[in-house]
Amino acid sequence: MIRKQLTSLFDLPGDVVMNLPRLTMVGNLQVVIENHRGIVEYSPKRVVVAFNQGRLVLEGEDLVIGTIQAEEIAITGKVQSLFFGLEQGRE
Amino acid sequence: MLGSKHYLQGFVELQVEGVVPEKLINLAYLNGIEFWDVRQKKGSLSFCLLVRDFKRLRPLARAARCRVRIRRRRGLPFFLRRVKGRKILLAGVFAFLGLLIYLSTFIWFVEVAGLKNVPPEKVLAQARQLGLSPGVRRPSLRLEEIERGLLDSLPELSWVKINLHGTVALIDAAERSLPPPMETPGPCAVVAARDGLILTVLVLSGQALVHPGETVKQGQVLISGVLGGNGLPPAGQNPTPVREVDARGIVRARVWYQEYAEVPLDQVVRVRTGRSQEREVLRFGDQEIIWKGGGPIPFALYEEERKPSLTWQWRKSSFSVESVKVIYHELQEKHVVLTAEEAKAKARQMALDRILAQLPPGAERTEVRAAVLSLPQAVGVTVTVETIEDIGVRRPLKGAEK
Repeated sequence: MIRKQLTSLFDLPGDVVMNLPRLTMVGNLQVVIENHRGIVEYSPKRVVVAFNQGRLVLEGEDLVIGTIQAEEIAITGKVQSLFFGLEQGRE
Repeated sequence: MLGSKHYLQGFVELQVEGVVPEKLINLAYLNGIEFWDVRQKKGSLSFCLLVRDFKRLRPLARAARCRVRIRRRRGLPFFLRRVKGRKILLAGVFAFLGLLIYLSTFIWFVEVAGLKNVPPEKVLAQARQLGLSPGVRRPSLRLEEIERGLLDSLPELSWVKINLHGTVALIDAAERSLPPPMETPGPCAVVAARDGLILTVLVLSGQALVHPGETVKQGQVLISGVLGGNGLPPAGQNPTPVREVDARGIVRARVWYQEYAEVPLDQVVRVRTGRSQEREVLRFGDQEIIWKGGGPIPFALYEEERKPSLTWQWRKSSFSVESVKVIYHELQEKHVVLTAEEAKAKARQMALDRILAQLPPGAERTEVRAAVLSLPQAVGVTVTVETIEDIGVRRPLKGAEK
């Protein structure tokens, strides 16, 4: 909670202070996720990416993991929906 | 970008079979293995990774309890391995590249730009002589020398720059506005235009052959254009070489002109009566068409006066259309009887006019004499005019002194 207040008080970027994922989307064609914690599930219709405080679920068609590096995952394909499933009690 | 890097290093496309293939993916990237294009193909997961990372993936696959099979090998190393056996093909590739590079060191096109009056062919021909033509190798070109050579040999050009664009040489030139060519017919001699007595000789170039006080005949060489070669050389020396020059000089001489005129005392004179008729004429080249005032001229004796009023000419062609106004003045004959004195004055004037028509511009009249000859029905006058003038005329050397 303190961190969250810090972030809003000093207008600091959340991905740096709170170790949150940073997402960049190019239309519905590409999603770049920085600060991830690995892939939980992969299929062409559904990709689940783990991050510090939960999971990011991507649903769509013909999803392909373009690149994976330690800092960054790029997923391409037709993204239809994207939502967060938070995991409780990890921090 | 990334693709070409992968292609150069060579990569493999793998097929992963296992219960949780995602585990292998996570393990791989955590170990710093770079991979891409993760997708589902025919029910199993596939992805690509560099050849050099493949060995490191093996133990990880075992840990993730996955089976890994190579589906395709791609990239330059694999391609080269395949091509290695086909030496002719490889030789062809290199021969092609080599030929391409070699041929691009030649000039294949020479173009000229920026000219208006000078034909480009002339510049191209000159450039060819100086060593710039299609088929010349680029390194052998000395552009500055060629530019200078072009300027020297083509005086019409004031500026030349040669630019090489690959295999094209572009000669960029600017023209000079030239003065009209000097009329120099080559070596000249100064000869006498008429008979005279030399007063002064001023030689600008050449060798004087006459001296003040001499009389000269028309056509005699006054200043020679041939230098040296005359006279015996001093002993033991070669004769001085003959050199032909453009002789110039001012030769002032005393010249006499004489004319005789005779005027009869009883004269018939034609005088305008004051009556006249006009006619308009169109002239096409040499042909004339009357378009106003046609019909016969009603005078027995007349003189015509022409006044061009309008002229159309197409550019510089010799053909022109002209509108001319012709005025016909009626004349009348009159008998006049002159006194001896009138006749003498008239004859003198006639003779003098004839002389004046002959005098060159710049002639200085020093003396005018008249001798009267009385005849039964007329008066004759001989007029002598003495002048001082430059009698030198330049004449081409060829044949002038031989």
